[in-house]
Amino acid sequence: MKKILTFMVFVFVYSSNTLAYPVLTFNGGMNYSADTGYLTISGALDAALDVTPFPDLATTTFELTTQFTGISAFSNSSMTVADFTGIGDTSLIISDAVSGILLQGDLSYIEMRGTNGSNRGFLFADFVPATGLLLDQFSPLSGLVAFQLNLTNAFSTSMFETSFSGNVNGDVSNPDYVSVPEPSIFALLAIGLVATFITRKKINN
Amino acid sequence: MRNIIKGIIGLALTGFLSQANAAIVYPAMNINSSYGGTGITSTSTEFVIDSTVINILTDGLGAFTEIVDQSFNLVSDTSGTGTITIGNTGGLVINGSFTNLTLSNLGRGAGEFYADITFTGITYGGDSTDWSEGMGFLSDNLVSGRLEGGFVVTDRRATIAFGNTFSTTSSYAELGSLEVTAVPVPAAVWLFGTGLLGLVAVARRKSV
Repeated sequence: MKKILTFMVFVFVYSSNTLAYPVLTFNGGMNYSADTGYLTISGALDAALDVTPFPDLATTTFELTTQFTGISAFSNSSMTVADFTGIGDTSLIISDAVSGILLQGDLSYIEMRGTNGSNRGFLFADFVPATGLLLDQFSPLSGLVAFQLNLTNAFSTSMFETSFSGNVNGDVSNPDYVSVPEPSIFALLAIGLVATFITRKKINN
Repeated sequence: MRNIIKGIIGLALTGFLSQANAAIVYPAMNINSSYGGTGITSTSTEFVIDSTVINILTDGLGAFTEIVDQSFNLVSDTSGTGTITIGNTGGLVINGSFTNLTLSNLGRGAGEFYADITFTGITYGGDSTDWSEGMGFLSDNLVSGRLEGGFVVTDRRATIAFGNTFSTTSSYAELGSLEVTAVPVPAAVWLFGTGLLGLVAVARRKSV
């Protein structure tokens, strides 16, 4: 009996040590227009975690639009930080062909940062969803974090004076979302094993 | 005439010396765990980066593309002191140390780190099959550098700080602002130098 309890405690700890907040992972291409100041990302979701309904990944689209406002005061000799602003409730639209709009809303506190001379960096944003099937799981505020790769302009305070493109991969997540963790596969296995053990004991007695 | 020539020589020597010994600062390596290594692991006692050098930025100094797939390892205690090693065991390995690794919590599960590195030496192992133009250049010229990088933790609820437990599934790091003490002198400077020597010779002949 002691062994069973030890095993169950182990299984409980192991099964509860998982992410239990919604995450939508995306990748795509990025374009910046020096004429308009618009930064756009067009891509698709490649994974999702703890979301209901689960997106039809094969048909998803991820469209992000934001506008450059200036170089941040945080920039220094080795790092460039650029500020952007959202353009209202169409700043970010995630959808799939089966469910339609999964999430749609505005972006706030958007920044792009990277080491000067490098063609890689980060894109951060706060996402304020306004509508969509996953609204309750990403409201009131979610975080967007993305890596920017293969930028055709290297990071510098003058990089936004000319247009550039690149690749992006990242995710939108809501770590503050309180969800009821589903019993994981390990917990189910534990219950099954305990039941088997009890049954065997009863038969033996 | 002699004063003019003297002035030209003085000016040229100043330019020549500054050109030959100029420190160049440029981002040197892209390091990325998604191409190998386990990424970043922080525990109550240490902060570790186990990653891979994926390329060297050229910045006009030539492409050192042969350096790809070299291991990059950083081990720091919770005070920000530790060592780095770049290169694969059995080949050429560059060693360095640092004392002021700094972690910054950017929010949303993202963090950055900074460190000023002093390169302490280079070791060769086996038949040095990992030798490459890039590694050779770096091993000859590395003195100090600045390591900068960013990462996103797997569990976004973790607090990014020394002594806290967190890890990454993807990260990038850059060995940037690399200081190089000796710079190959351009051919034009050598040509200018020989021309000046000619001028000196002519001036001396005239004075004799």
